[in-house]
Amino acid sequence: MAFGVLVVDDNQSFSNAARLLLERQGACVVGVACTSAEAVRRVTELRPDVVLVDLALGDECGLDLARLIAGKGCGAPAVVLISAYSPADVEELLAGNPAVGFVPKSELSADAIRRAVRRSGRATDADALSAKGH
Amino acid sequence: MSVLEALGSGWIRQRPPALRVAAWFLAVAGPAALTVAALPLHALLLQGGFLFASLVLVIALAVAGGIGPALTALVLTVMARGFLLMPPISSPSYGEPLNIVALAGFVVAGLVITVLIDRLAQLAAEQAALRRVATLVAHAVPATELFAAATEEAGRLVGADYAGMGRYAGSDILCVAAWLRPRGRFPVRGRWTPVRSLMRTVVRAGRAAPTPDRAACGTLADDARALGIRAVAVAPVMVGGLTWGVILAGSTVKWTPPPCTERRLAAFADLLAAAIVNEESRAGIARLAEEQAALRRVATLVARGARPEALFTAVTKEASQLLGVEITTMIRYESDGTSTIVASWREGGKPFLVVGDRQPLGGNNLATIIAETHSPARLDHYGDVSGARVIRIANAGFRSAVGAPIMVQGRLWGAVIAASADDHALSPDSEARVGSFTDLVATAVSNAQTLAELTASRARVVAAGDEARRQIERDLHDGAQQRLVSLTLAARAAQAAVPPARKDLDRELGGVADGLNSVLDDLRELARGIHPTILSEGGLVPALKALARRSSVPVELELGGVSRLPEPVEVAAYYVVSEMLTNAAKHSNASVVEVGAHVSGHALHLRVADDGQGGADPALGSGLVGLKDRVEALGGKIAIDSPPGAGTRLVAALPLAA
Repeated sequence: MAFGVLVVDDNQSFSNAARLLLERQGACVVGVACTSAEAVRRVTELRPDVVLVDLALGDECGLDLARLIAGKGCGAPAVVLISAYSPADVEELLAGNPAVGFVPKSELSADAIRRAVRRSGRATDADALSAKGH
Repeated sequence: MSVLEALGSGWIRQRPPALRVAAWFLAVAGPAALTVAALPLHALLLQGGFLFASLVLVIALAVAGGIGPALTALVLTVMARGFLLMPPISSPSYGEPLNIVALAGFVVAGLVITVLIDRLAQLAAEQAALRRVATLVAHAVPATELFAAATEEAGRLVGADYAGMGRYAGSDILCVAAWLRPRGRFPVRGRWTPVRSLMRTVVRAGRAAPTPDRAACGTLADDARALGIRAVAVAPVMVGGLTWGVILAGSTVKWTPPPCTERRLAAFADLLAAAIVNEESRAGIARLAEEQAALRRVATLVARGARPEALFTAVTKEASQLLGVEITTMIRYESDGTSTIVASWREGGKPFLVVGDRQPLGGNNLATIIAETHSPARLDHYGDVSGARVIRIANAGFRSAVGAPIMVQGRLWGAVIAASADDHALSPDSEARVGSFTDLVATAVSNAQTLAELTASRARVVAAGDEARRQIERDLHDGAQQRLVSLTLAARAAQAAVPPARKDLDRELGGVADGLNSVLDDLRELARGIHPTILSEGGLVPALKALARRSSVPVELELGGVSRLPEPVEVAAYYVVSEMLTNAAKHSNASVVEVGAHVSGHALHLRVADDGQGGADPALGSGLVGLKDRVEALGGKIAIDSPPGAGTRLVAALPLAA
């Protein structure tokens, strides 16, 4: 089973860099989205395992998109929030959000995603990831 | 009262009837008695004695009974001397020739003395009456009592059956005192419409006039006829060159008032004029003092910067009480041709007009008139007013009103309108008095406007600064930081593609990525100092929690149900807490800082207190002054208390009104 990742970010150059890195590290980037609406469509179409959501999606709020995706019930992908801000700057915003974890963009890697998912206790996804991972 | 005054007090009918009857009786009986007594007496006594005794009788009668009995006695004596005390009736020893000279002397003396006594008596009575009234004037007795006393004295002095006094009010005469011979003073009421011919004469000529009793009309004449009055003498009361009123005396018999009647009435009128002038001066001074006191109370409120609602209500109340009207309202003119009630006060405090009521201008009412003319105006009777609000006021029983505009910095802002339940109730200086209040209001409004403009300007400056910082932070984030992130990822991607054998390349690329990351951290640190993202994204509560978490001094946070607030308030509160925490960490050696925030009464209340060494002085560092500026720019209040050795405490209140 592919470790499928959907990257949701309004910054094209970041999305490209992220895709390059993650693929080289063994994850499979199944798609890229720039807006909430597009992201929701892609989730339905592509059924990724993990969705990376930027906190600041242009004018939209990544936190809201995270709730939207997670609210789709079981079978919904794990949402990992990413941001150019460090965790220290945004820690309080994450409280109560259904996203499984937060990874700063500068530390993005397939391992980091795996760790975030594993820490959240979503066992099946973690197994799937480790099955495919390094 | 001396006997002379008592007896000499008037003309014809002033003496007590019993005395008059006795005098006439004596006028006839006296000479008869003297003649009979003289008959058997010796001749030597006759000439001088008889005439002397008769003269004494005549003088006594002049004092007691007036000219009538005295002259009657005089004539009877002459006749008795001439016809009876002569032969052959009397004894032959009286046969001496009639001493014409002695008789003539007796007649002349009798006449002269009689007339002099009469005049003297009248003069004494007149002077006494005037003196009594003058004493009342000097003692400043109340006007009603003074007028009643003067009316009575005048009536008695001129021998009238009725005396009255009236004051001109508009085109009517208001009766202020009345006296009837049989009843004494009686309480007055009512207005007269004057006898046209009479009063016109009085008003035009300003002098006394007798009046014919025919062709008289007007309620004055009706009342007069009801009392049976047939003739009236009138004198005007002139105050300050203008006819103030009239004093009149009337008689129930057909009596032509002697010329001196008008002169005497005029003498009373002069005294009363003096009293009226005094009274009006006193009343004028009292009114002035009252007005000044009212204005001073309002001015104190203005100087203390009282809130507008309190000031406006106070103005309407003071104006009402000063003008003696039942209701005063203050309105503000809006830019859309309507007026809004900003304050209203009714005697007895019963609410009537609702603050905030807004009506379009138009129609015949003071709000519209003042809006058009920008000047004080009055409506002396609400007969033909139009306009929704004024119709309601008229239906509630109000009948006249006066108003003045409130001009703030040369522009019409609003108006103050005082309304009374009587028509023509408002004195001519009412507009000026309302005007003095509106001047104060204009000052207050101007002050408030200036202050508001200043505050808004400060707030704009602060907001512009904050916006600029936010923009810089945003640009840093979206631009340089994102690019650095992408570069870091690219370096790591390259690192991931290095073959396992090339550990040196792996290390080099890793070093590049780390270096880029560290630059990113520095930029983040810089950005954090410029503007905290979490404040814009999450609001004050997460931002304060982040501050507390990052603070090197432990922080106890107490956030009482604070949710999202207007952005300038959140920003100001954040910087206040941030600065205080920074100071606590850097200078105070505190072990704990308490931070509290809660919303109450349309304001955010902040409290920051540490247990460090205190001694923080806004004058010494720019940080605390900056906090003061920030808070005050929003119209808030801030107080910092930092005694040396006793920690630092800050309390601030930031208004939340939009």
